[in-house]
Amino acid sequence: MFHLGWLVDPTRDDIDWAGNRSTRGIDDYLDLASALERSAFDFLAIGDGPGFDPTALVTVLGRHTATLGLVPTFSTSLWSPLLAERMLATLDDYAEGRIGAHLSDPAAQWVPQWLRQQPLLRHQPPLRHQPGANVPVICSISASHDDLEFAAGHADAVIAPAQGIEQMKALRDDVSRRVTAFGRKSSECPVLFVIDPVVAETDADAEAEFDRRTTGPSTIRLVGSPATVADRLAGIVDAVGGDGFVFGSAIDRRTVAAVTDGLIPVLRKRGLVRSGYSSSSLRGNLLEGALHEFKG
Amino acid sequence: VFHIGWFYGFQVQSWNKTFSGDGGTEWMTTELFVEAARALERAKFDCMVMEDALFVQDIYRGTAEFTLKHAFMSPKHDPMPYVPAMADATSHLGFIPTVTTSFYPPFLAARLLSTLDHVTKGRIGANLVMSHNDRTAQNFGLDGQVEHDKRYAMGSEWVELVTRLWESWDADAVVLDEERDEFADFTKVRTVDFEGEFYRSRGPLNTAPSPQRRPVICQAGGSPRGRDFAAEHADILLSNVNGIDGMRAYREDIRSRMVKFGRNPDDCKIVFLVAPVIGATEAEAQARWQRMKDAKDSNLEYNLAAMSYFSGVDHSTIELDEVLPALQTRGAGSTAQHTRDQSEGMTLREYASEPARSCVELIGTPDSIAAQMGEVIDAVGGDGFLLDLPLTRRNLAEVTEGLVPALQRRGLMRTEYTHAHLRDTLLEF
Repeated sequence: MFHLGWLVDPTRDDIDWAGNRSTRGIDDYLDLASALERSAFDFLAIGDGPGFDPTALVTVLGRHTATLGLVPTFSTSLWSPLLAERMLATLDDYAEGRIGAHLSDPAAQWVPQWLRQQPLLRHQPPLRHQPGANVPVICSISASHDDLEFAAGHADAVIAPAQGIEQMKALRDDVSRRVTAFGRKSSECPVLFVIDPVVAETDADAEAEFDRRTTGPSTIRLVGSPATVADRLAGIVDAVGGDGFVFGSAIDRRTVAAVTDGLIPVLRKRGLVRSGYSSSSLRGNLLEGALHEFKG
Repeated sequence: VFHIGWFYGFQVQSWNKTFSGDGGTEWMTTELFVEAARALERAKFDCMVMEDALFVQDIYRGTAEFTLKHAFMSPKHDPMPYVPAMADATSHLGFIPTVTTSFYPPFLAARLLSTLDHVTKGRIGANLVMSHNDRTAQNFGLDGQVEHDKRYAMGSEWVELVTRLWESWDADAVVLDEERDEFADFTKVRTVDFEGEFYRSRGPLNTAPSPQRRPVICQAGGSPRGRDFAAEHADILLSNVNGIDGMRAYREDIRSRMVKFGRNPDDCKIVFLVAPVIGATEAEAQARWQRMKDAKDSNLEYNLAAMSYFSGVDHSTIELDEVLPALQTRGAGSTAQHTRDQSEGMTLREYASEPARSCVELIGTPDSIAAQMGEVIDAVGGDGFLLDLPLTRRNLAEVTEGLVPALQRRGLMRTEYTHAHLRDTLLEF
């Protein structure tokens, strides 16, 4: 079984399949969250950007969903450790253990400092829900040494770029080695690769849609019918030993429906993704069904 | 600007296709339909029209095998309980569930629709059908259905009584006078003392007068008697008549009948059933259409079952390689007539191997279909369309993200609602 997340870039300016500019209104996020929860995704991560604070959105999404993990991005240039900590504790309290913190620049100076403060804050008078402040940390990493070291020591999951099979495998193994060097189990830090598949009714339709895309592939090429793309994903997990995938796709409803009502049912039928949540917390879902322990 | 709605029933929408999702079970609960209602409201649709039936089809091959194996029109849920869930999530979209005049006692129907008009804050309608087969009649204790014209005579009297019940409270009967401790003024509530040929009722209705007072009446009459019924009573009329000429003739006929009944012809909107085949490109849409046409064997069986369903005649017993015979049917007479009109000269096999038909074929990109729809309405004279597509998220997205923006850019669809009640929305233009 592998894990699934979705990472939305709110600053992305997509032109959808019909040539219209995609909207990013609250309805669009609510429908996306419902769709991902229906498909038992681990989490929805939301980027930040000029004029957009994902934490405000997360409070609404928390009331709209019951089990989906919600992972706002914290930019270290905007948030002080104390404010970030306080916000996360509050959000996690209201969302009853479903909040994660997405760090898009994990090696930045203040993050280790913030994490060092966590044990202290954890013993503050409790909010309604525990563990409150001790939210999972999900890091987007490059292959840089600093990113990898930080993630190995602190991250509960990492989001990594998906390139060729060889690079993905090398990265996965590198993370596992470093995680075990910190005295942790490699299953405590799943590695999720970012994908942006083109899923259509037939392989030919998908190829044509891929050719029409205005932006080039920023990630591994996954193009085809739901069955074709499911085969490819299963193959990648087998070859790489990765723990799952994070969709970095546009969030127009046609694209989302192709994933949640096309691709996911195929993955589910093959037993590759969960058919329902077994835990009500994000941490519990991230730790579910770790594929393997690194033996390196 | 034309009107647009979505036509579907509370049954399986799609269950084992590429983009069905959890379609085998999802239709049994409300989430999908609530999501659809929100999507259609975002797209500024007029309404949903919710088809219904009250029997398990076992005409085709004399058993229910095809029906149940393929979830063909069965199982099917009662539309009424879905309406409040969808209404709660929306504020302007209208809801038009089907009500059979043949088997709903008038008092219960008047009460249910009045209640739903309150619950939806003035957005309810009723798609009145007379039921068209013996199986339904048998489910209600009769040996077989009542003869066609008599069903309509009963239907007319039914509407008359239901209307009287709705009018049994004056609009201002609920006075809410706190000083005088008077909730409702009893002098503004009257018995109806209705004594008809088929129905009797004393009245008054025991609901408060609803926002529209008289819910919207929808109908689909095709026969001369059905057309008169629609012309006399309907606010919206749906039609599956085939081809531009037929659509125009149908609309003109209904409008002239309305004048005969002393009504303004613009007070009833005629909407035509279409099933657009939408692609991101023309090539994709054509390929999709070609795949639908290539599925000859499944088309054949589906259409034979559908023709059996509507006519009450088992089409598995008709010679496939001969020209379609004229059928004596006691069922949906005008639907059988459409079939004969469309199939002129074709063998049953040729005709039924094609994909199911709607009023006009619409195949292409969102923009080209929008242009075609505009041309059709120009040629026909009005008033709009009902989309007859399975309610899947993929179809909803293709319509609301693709077709609707294209129609709005061409000024063919509203971009904002201007009224709170369904009848006012229908009469907006």
